[in-house]
Amino acid sequence: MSTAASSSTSETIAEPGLKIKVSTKEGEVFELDEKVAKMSQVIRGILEDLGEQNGGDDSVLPLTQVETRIFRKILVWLKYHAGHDKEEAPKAEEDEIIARFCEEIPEWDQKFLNVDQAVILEIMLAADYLDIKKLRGLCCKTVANILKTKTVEQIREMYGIENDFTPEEEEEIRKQTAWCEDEPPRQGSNH
Amino acid sequence: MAPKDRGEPSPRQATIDKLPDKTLLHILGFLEHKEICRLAQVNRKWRQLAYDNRLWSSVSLRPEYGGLVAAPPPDTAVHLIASRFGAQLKCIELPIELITAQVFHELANKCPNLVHLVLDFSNAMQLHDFNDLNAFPSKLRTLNICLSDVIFMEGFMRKIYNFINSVECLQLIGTYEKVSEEEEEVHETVQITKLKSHVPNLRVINFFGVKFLDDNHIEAISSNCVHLECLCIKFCTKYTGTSLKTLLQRCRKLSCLLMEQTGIKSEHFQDAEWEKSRVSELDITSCEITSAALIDVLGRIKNLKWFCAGHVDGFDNQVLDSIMQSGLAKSLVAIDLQSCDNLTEEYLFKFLEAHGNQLLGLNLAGIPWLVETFWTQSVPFLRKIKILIMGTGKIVTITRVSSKIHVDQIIDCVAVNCPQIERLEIRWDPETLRFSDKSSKFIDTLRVKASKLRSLTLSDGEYFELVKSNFERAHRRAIVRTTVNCSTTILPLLPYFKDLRFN
Repeated sequence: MSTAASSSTSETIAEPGLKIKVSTKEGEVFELDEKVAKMSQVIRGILEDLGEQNGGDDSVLPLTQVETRIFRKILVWLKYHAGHDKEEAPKAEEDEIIARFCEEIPEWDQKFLNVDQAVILEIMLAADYLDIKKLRGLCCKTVANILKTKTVEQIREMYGIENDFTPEEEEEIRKQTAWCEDEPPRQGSNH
Repeated sequence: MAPKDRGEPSPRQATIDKLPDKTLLHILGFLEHKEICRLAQVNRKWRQLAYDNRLWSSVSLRPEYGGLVAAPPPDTAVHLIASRFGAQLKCIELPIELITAQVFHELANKCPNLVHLVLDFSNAMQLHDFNDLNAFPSKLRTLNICLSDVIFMEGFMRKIYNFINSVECLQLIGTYEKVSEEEEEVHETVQITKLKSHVPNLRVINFFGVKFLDDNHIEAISSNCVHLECLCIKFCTKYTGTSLKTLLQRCRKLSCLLMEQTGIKSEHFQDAEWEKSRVSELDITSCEITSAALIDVLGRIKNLKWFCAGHVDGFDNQVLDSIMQSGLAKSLVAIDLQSCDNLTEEYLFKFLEAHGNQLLGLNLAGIPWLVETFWTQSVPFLRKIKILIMGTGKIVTITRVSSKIHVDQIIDCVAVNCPQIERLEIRWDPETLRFSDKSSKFIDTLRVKASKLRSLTLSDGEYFELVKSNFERAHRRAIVRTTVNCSTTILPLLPYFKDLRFN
């Protein structure tokens, strides 16, 4: 599946400032602008611990849980958002909750995440590992939007999940949730 | 040999079922409760996650207001409070069926972190018996009671007075909207004079549409609530303002005063010592205040940031001129002058030319002579604008707008000049709006440039459909709405907007 947002990561933008080196699970080394790298709270934390006095040094941060193919994608996202986002003030908890339900995923990010669900999940895990909250949130929301449109049966089928309820339990749970069910999801099965 | 779903991951790759619980909870956090309930039926693991009380910290059990579809039976509700909500519960909305002593006992005992409680009595036919009520959540910050016309609340209120000392934000929502044509008797269903002594910590009061509320009640409130910062008495038609002077004297912290469609009289409005007050947000929409009274009062208010005076005939060119002369206009960040049709285009243009660059919110809808040329010349001043409302709606005046509105020019102007725009409403009806085959291009520009736009409201018609489908193709779905079911206001710019919101 091709992605709108995949592009080479080796291009170096002539921009003054610190370069940060990181390596992926496979050991491939990437050089990032400081601004881009610091969008990951984990990298930011490590850099702050190390102190930033020796910019020219050759140390490489190992990101042992991120595969190269996923890291390339995340890099595309980070570069785009480093260039387009303004520093956002952290939101109050209530605003955060409202935003969760009301705000739509921006066009660029929708295209970026228009990939196999498995890839979305991997990006989500990597974003969690690197502590990039915004990207993790976008992935979660995208998956949540997929779940919204599926019936229970479709979800089990889609993920190969076994129904481990006994018939009694199933009846019980149906009763328990009966009062909060409305009509089944909008898109029915298309088989 | 089931056909493979395109979204189905191959076994080697990550699959949702293998994700850590923490991550799955994040995903479920983006779903509504009724969807979470459905997912509980997938398997045991999903049930356990769906019932995790971290997902149930804010629960609405009022189906009419986006809550769960049907209210659970009381026994189930009591069980839910104990087993599913527990200590995580912060906010709950209860319909009349669940306003019982038993439910309150459970909330008081099992939910120590509950701070926000909504009690909806509006559909009540009669009140449950509260003789046994001896426990009630005691750490509430916000208490919202939706009143009914005919239910006397005192029996209930007497029981909870001892528990509501901590409340900072009190909302009593009246029944103004359900008003019937015939004049009926208005009952004082809550005794404000008794209530006031039990809520000394109030910062925010919202008495929206409480029909029985009058100046005596406001006087009583002001005697005991010295910390009051925000008072909303919109649609309390019995209020005339005799208590306004006392209110401003006693409640020195009051900064936000919303009096839309009250019966306030000019002389009482003028009587208050505005020069000593801290009021910086004021709403007198649809109040009958004279031009002279406005010039006097606005001459004495020191720092007005947010001002609504829509439908006030007294707000004319002289008033606008006086606030520009006095310098008061310099502090304004949002102003609503809709349907103030004693204002001319010339004066409004001068005002926007001088102060447009500081405005975050502007409502000039309902003024028939503000047409395309006015807006294409004024919008470039509105560099910071977040909320903008223009156009005349369905109100057919005798002086029918002769010129047609070419909406493309306005859309383009907003797209180019207003990068911060969040809410835009254009009210002209389809007969007045003109657009062309090039319109799509302008809508594209707006969509791309105005990335913060979250609400775009248009009159229902061909142009609306065009814009709606344009945004939908770009997967920005819930943004474009019609004026039929959505009306934009500058209220979101109020610092107390969150506290005042209900339903």
